[in-house]
Amino acid sequence: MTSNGPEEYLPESELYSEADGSAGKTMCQAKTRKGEPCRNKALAGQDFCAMHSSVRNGEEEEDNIPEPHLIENLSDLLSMMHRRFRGEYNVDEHGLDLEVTEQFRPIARWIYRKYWRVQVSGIENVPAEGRALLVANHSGVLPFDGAMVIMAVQEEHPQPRLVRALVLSLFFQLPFTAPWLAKTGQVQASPMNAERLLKNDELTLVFPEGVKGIGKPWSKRYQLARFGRGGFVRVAMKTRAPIIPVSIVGAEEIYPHIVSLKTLASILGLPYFPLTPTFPLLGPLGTIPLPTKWYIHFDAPIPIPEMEFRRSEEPLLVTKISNQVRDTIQKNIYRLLKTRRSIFW
Amino acid sequence: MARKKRSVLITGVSHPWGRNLVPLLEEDPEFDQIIGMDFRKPETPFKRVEFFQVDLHNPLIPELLQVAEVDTVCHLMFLDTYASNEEYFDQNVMGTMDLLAACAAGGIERVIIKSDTKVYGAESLNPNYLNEYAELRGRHYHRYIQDRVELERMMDRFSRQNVSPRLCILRFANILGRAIETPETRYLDSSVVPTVIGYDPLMQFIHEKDVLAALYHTIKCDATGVFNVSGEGALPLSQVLRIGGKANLPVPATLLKFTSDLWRKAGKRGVLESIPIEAGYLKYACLGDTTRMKEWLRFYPQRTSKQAVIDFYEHLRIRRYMPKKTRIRSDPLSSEKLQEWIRSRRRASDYLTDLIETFNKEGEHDQ
Repeated sequence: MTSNGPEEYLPESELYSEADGSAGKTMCQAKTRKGEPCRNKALAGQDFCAMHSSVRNGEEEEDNIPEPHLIENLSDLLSMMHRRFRGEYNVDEHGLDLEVTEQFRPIARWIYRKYWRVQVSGIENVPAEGRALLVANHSGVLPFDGAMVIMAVQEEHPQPRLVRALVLSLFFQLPFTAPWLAKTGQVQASPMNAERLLKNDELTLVFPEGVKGIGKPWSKRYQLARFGRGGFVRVAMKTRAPIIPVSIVGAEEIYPHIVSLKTLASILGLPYFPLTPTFPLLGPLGTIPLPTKWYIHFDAPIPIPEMEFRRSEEPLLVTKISNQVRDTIQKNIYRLLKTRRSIFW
Repeated sequence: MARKKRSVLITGVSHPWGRNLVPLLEEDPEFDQIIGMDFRKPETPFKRVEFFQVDLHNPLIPELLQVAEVDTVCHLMFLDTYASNEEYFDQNVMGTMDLLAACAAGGIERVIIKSDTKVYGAESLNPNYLNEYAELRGRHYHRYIQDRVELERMMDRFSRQNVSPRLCILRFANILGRAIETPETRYLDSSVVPTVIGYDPLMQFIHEKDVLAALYHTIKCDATGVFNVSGEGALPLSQVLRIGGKANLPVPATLLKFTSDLWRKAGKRGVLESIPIEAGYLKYACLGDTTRMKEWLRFYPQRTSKQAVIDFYEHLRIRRYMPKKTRIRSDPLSSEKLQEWIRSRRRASDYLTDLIETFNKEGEHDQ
C-alpha cells in the first residue's frame, strides 16, 4: 500500500542505516605484564584497549625512526578529530569517553611517577576482572587521591582496568568540571550509581568519609572521619561485591589546611574554604600542591559474596563491616607512617 | 481454542500518536472492536475504527465502555503547549481524571497512559539512572512538564484509591522521529541550538517507531505498573549536536531561563521558546532506568538512543529535497471502498439481467 499521506515513510531499506560504527566487541590484542592475553575490550577501530594502545605506540616509537612516525601520529590525530567532529564516537552509560580519557593519561602519569612518586603495595589484591568496591581514605582539599588510585591500578596492575571513582555531587554541579568528570569515567556519588556500576562488573572506588575527610584540618591529618552511614557496605552486600580497603598516605600534606573560613565558605556555597600557607596568599600559585611522597596500599579483599545473613541481621552487619574496613584502613595508614622518614621522600 | 476477542478504546486518534497507532491495531485480527475518540475529526478516514467525536468529559463514556465491553483503554490524548493554557490543562489533566473515573465506573480492566521521563526532573542530586519509584521532581516552570507531573500525581492517588482499572504508565524518554513533532525534535531542529555553558548532560532517546511498538506491545500483553521506556544507551548533548552537524550557542543558565521566560510571555514560538527543556534539563541528566522495561514489560526497542538520533538527523537532511505535501491526494482506503462498491453494483445488475432473461425465456415458453 503506497500513498503520499503525511505519516507515510519511505521504504525502510533506503533510509535506515543499521551500521552504528560501534565496534567494541573485539578483544584487545596486547599481552599483559604477566604474559597473559589482555581481557579488556578493544577501542573502536583499533586492535588494543585504552590501557594498551598508548603503551604500544610508545614501544613502536623506540624501534622506528621518529620522523615518519610523527607525521603518522599527526594524521591519526587529525582523523580522530575529524571523526569526533562528526560525532562518531561512543560513550558508556555513565558518559565515559575513553578517547578523551586517553588524552589526560600523559599528564596523570607524569604527576603519578615524577611529582608524587607514588609507591604502591598490595596491587595483587585488586581482582583482574569482576566487580569489586575499593574503599579509601579521603584527604587533601582537592580530590587528587582518587586520580592517583586510578593511576595506580592502570600503571601497576598486571591487567590494567579503569577504576570508576564515585565523586562528590558538589563537583557534578560545577560548570566545565561536571562534563569533564563524566567523560573521564567518574560517576556522581550515590548508592544507586554505585549499585549500577557494580552490577556491570566495574571496579568502583568510593570515599565513605566524603567531604568530612577531604576538608579535614591539618591537625586531624591521618585520623579517619566518620564513614558516612555505611551506605557503601549496603551496596556491596546487595551486589555481592568484595570490599578492598585502600590506604593512602601522602595526600594529607599536599595542601596544609590550617584554618577553614566558615563564613566565606557559606557565602560562596562551598562546604569548606581552606586557608593554607600559600592559598589564597599567592593567588593561583597557591593552588599548586606540595610534591609529597605518596604511598598507596591495597589490602586483602573482605569477601562479601560468601557471607550468609538474614534480613534482620543486616543493620548490625553493616556497622560491623563498616568498622572493620575503617580499622583496616587506619591500621595500614599507621603502618605506612611508621616507616616514613619525611613527608617529601 | 478460540482466542478471546478484544475490544479497545483509543483516545486522541486524530492526533499523530493515535493516528499512527491505529493502523497497527486494525491489521491485528485479535482486536475485534476498536473505538476511537477525539474532539477533532481525523484527516483521513479509518478502516475499522468506530470513531466518535467527543471530548473526555462526555458523560456518556461510562455507558459506551460498558456496552462495547471494552477491556483496555489506551489514553494518548495529550496536548503539549508552552503558554499557560486553561483549555489544554482542562483536557490534559481534568480530562484524564474524568476518563479514569469513567473507566472505574465502566469496569475497565486496564488503562494505558503515555507519559514522559521528564517528570522526574533534572536535578543535580539525582542518581544517573532513575527507577520508577523515584520521586517526581519535574520543575513547574514549564507547562508541558507541569501538566505531566500533576497528572502523574493524580494517577498515583487514583491507583491507590481504586483497585480497578489497573494503570499502566509508560514514561518515554526524549522521542525523535520523522512524522512526529515533539519538544525535543523542535529543539534539536533549530538552526542554532542553545546549550548551557559548561554543562553537557547525558540524554536518552527513543525512536518514534519504537514508541508505537511499545504502545502496541503493551496493549497486547497484560502488563501493569510504571515503566521507563527508552532506547539502549545514552549520549551527551554535545555528541547529539555533532551527529546533527548543528551549531550550538552556549548561554549561561540564568540568561537562558530569563530569555526563554520573556520569549514565552511575548507569545513567540521561536528557538528559545521551543526549549523543551528548561535550563535544568540542559544542565543535568534525566535518565530512566530501563531494567523494569526489559524484565517485566519484556519490550526491547529496535533502535538504540544513538541510532534514533542518527535516523532523526538523516531524515532532516533529506527532508528539504522531498516534494511538498500536496493537497490533492486520493485515499487508498476509499479506492478499496470504490472497488467494493463497483463490484457489488455489477453483481446486482448481473443478477437482474439473469432474472430478466429467465423471465423472458419463460414467457416464450408460455406462448
